[in-house]
Amino acid sequence: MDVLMEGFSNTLTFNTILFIFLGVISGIAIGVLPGLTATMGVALLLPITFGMEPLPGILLLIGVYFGAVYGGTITAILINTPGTPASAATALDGYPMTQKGEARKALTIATLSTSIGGIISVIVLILLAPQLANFALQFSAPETFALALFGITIISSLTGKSFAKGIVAGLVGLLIATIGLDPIGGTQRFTFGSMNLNNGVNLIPVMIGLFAAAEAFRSVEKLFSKDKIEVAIKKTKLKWSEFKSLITTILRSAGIGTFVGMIPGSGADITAFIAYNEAKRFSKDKSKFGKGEMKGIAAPEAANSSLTGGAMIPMLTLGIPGDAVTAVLLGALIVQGLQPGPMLFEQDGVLVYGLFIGMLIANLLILILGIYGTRFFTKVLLIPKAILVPVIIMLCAVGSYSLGNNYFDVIVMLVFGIIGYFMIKNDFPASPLILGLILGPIMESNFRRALVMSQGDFSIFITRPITAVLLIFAFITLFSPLIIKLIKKKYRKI
Amino acid sequence: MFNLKKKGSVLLMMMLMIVLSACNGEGNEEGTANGENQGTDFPNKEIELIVPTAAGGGTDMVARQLVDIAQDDLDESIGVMNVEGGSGSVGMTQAANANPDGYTATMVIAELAMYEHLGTSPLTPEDFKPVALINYDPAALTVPADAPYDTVGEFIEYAKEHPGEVSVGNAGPGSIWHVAAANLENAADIELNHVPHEGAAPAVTALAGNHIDAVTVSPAEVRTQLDAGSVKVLAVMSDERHDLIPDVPTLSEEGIDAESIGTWRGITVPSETPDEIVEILEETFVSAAKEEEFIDFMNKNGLGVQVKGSEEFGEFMEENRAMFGEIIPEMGLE
Amino acid sequence: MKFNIPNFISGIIVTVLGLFFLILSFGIKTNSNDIFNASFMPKVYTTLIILFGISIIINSFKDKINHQTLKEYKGPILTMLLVTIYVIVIPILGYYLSTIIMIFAFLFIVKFENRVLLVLTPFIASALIYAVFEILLQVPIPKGSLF
Repeated sequence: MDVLMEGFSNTLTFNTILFIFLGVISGIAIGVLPGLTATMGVALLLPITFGMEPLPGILLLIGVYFGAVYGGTITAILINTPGTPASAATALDGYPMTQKGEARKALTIATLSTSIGGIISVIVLILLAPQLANFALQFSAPETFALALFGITIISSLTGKSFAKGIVAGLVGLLIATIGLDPIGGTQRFTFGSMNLNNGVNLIPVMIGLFAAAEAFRSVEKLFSKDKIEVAIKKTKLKWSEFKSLITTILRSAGIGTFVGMIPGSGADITAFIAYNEAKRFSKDKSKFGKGEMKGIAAPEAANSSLTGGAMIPMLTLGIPGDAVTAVLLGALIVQGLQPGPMLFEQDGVLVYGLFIGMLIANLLILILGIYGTRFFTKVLLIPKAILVPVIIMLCAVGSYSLGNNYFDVIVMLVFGIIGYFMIKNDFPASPLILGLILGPIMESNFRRALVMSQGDFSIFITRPITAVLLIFAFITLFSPLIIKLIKKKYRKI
Repeated sequence: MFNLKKKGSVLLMMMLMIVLSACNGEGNEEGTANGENQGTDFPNKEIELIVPTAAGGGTDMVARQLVDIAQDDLDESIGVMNVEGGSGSVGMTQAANANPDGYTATMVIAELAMYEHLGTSPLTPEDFKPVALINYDPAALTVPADAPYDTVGEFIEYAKEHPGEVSVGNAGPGSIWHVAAANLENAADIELNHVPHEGAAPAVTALAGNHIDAVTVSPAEVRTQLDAGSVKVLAVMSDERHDLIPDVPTLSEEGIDAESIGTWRGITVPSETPDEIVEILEETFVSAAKEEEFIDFMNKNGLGVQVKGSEEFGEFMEENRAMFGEIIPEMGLE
Repeated sequence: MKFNIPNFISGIIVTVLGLFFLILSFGIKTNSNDIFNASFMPKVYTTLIILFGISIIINSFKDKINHQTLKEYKGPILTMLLVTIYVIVIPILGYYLSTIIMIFAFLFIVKFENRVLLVLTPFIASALIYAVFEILLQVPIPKGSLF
């Protein structure tokens, strides 16, 4: 307890809070730009922290991360272009709300969910870190495979109007993910002799193209038609009663986020979709999802911020990063001379608790900035589309390039921008494609790795408890819509 | 009339911007045609160091730290540019094709000596002129702390009794750590079950969770688990013991005749770079790598500092290349 | 026979592409004798794509007739052409110059009313990008062969 108080007092210095603030602001700016992801932002600012004291340095990076995810959410809601993969699920219901004129409400929901979710996960972190850490170690190839498969089955609930089209989109994503070198044997697949294709198709340029560029192309339709449709920004605020209805969703999603975050290798992108899916599953009126349902924003937002708290658990207690961002943070800690692992709490307990408090502060800052900033953010919608479109295009170009200084990524972005436009026009949803692209490699490589480890024995998938449970989840998710339909048909006959 | 004026000013502004952006571009073109004449006044502008891996990773951090120290010596700044992809081949290929004027250097990694044998890329050490070797980290055979063997000898005994069952994790098919494990197999005449992962860290995680039996990655990468007491290192594949784990014997000490295998990082420039410039760079980087600040940094991270000058580094790369040429074809990679 | 044209076309495209990649999957060279080798998943995916593609085609006969006209595609297609040219030109003229031209061209095509903004926007946008990317983040911007 004293350790906690000491950490508290260390963090509540002007210097530290200033750095958290700077981190959050930079993060938001980075997140808003399509192409710059939260992980990139953290990696880019990492060298700056080398010369700093450990506490402000790490907290700066954490602030950047939270800020970036939030920034990505802002653009996801306002202009249907998620600035980071973590916000991709938020656009599903966030943008429709903006289209209905309820942008302020959507942003408010997002702000509240993300900060509350983050705070909850830090509290869990403070209370339960060492105990939960061992759970992370249980995960090996079979479990990760089952989790990825579960994630893929979520595609079935994202299909929108046409089931077949949604599945096709998901399959296309899965197929694109196979381009390049096979992760287990190193075989070339669909590379057509190109060095660039050998490395596979990068997720980020595809996302930028599919969401940002395609959306930009679509906005042009209205520019050429002579009717000027003004999207009124209603002053509707979030009512207290509405907020109350979201509390269960937020709690559940924060739980999912923290939990899944602990699993090494899970990212904010998948977690947000899982939370979205579960929110839909537990809601009484599923048809509202995708058309501006409040829970559709609350769920992914609570999940993508609580994920970090969860991911920090194995990172701090075992030295095993839960996702890409915590991997960078791990590096930052080591450079500062800290040793993540069971010894960390004993040797540097004060610092660790200081970090936790700092994370709470970061989330609080987002809450404050978000609530007051909403008015300002929605002004973006007032910018004439004619200016917004080319600016988005130029950001897409530079964002795709900045990934790895490879111009090929810009071309990928363009190709998927064009494909994305035609997908929108023909009711092929984009999210399944993204999910397939993200999860395909994880699922396949872990499936084959599990088989290598068990030397070809398939029972490994049934005898391991966590694997079995996840596979059952996957089965239920995939087939329940179908089963429900069949049951309904029978009902009508009776 | 009004319209013409507007269009005129638009045109003027366009021309202005063209000129401005041309200036921005030209600044980087200066001096590249004069490669041969640079000689003694090298360097007179910023040098670029290409790092063939992602920002924030091990190689990147070593590069940035080295550059930080080296640029004080040079009086010119050195900028790091990450060009990732193809296990480093994309960045290093770009570096090999850069202007041989000394203003583009690269941090090269051990994979450079492996590409031709793996079929990944036609790139070889001959596409570069070596400047200096900075770091070397040998493979360390690491097993769970509660494993039934305490020495390499016992491990090999066990492996002989259970051919093909002992699982060894590596950082990916054809990765240096996979090659290291294959090297051990050859030298000890055993059959291991190689389990590829997406990098060394996931493999170490799997080991810590007891999902695989061993890994053969660098000491730095198992360090956190070592300190936590969840793993133990049985041997290192190098000529000398490693500073991070001074109590761990080398393979040869244990009576196993195997090549030293490990990952390494060094600096190179395109093969056509004039020798005088290479000398200047060699001096700079070698002394930077010997600075206390750098050595401290490497020690903190458990990375091994091994410094070789241009000629020695060249020989080193050739030796590695030959060694990989022998081991890799036997590995049966796809 | 009445059917939904866009769905029919997308169904055909999907099925054909699926078939194309299925054939390619058989060409994946691998040393492994495993069933679950590198070519397995691609074959699974492409086969499923073909099946669902056919389902889309069949359903297009049951779907409602589409009353969309081709007119609304005009703007986006023009824009896509412009952006394609933009992407081709960047490696030649460099990012900044290409972007300025692209924004000008776009605003011109759209017949943007406000002349002042028309001129200012490209420059302000480029300046901001320069400040954020090159100075603050030190991330390189695509340079062209001419500039």
